[in-house]
Amino acid sequence: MPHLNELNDKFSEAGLSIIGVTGESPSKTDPWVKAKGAKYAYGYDKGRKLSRALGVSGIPHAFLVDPGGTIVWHGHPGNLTPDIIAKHLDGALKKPVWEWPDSTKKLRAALKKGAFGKALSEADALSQSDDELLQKIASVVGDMVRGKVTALKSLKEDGDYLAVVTRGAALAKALKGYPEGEEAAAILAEVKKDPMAKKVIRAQKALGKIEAGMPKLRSAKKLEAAIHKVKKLTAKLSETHAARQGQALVAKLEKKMKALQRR
Amino acid sequence: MRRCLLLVAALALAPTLGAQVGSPLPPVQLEGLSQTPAKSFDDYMGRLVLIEFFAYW
Repeated sequence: MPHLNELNDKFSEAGLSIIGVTGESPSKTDPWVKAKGAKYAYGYDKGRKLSRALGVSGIPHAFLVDPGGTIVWHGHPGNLTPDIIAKHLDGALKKPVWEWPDSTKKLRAALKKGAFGKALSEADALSQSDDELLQKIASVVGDMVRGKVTALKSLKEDGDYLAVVTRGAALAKALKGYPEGEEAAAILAEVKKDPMAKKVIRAQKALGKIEAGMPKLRSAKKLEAAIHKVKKLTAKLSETHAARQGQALVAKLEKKMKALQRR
Repeated sequence: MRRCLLLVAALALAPTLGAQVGSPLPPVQLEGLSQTPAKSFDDYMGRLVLIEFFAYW
């Protein structure tokens, strides 16, 4: 904690925000954080959804996310040097959203509603201002919105078709009438008409259900059945995202099985 | 919060596909953000964000 407090003191005005994340309960965490004197924000990862999505297997573990929302570093926080932070501060806003000037009110409202097309229009208007901060905010918003489309493209390239259809429809709708929206719609349409993508999506949904039901698998027999089901689901989908997802799920199920056998 | 965490404890989570350098931050939100006016990750747009997973024990 002193290390993060030091980083916070040194870099917060230059554009760094620190967020502690825990999967533990507030009843014990809140007093602990207060007693330790953390100077930065913290929040609760209920159900460890973020932790799972990021593949965190041990703590402490830190992720550095650049101003465009891309992970640029991760590892043990003790290995995070000021040099690494300084290297990625380029382009970071010195003021967080809640300190943006009143003239960004419409932009903030559009972002809050997820109306990214409207946000792009507002950002475009702000970019005409002589105010350096407003110009930078406009640039960040533009990058953020375009970054969402780029992320969608990456998901498609990675074969995570379920994520593409889940996020793509909302993104295409939010950007309707803008070139970015057309791009998102095209990515979505391409996935929807791909027969292999349809098979992968079906498997991904089924794998998701098995994973969600893991807490209820409390016997070796049930775990074995689940492993068998996962392997069957992904047997004909080698080299796909579903196969990789299946392998990771089998590893989790086997780990739980071993833990059960040790008791 | 690292210094107070002497144990590198394995959470009951096996590594999954996981995010790599170059990946976008997954669209998962936190609950009960404290010590900040921010309500969600979206409020950190444009900032360089350091996320640290910790536990009180």
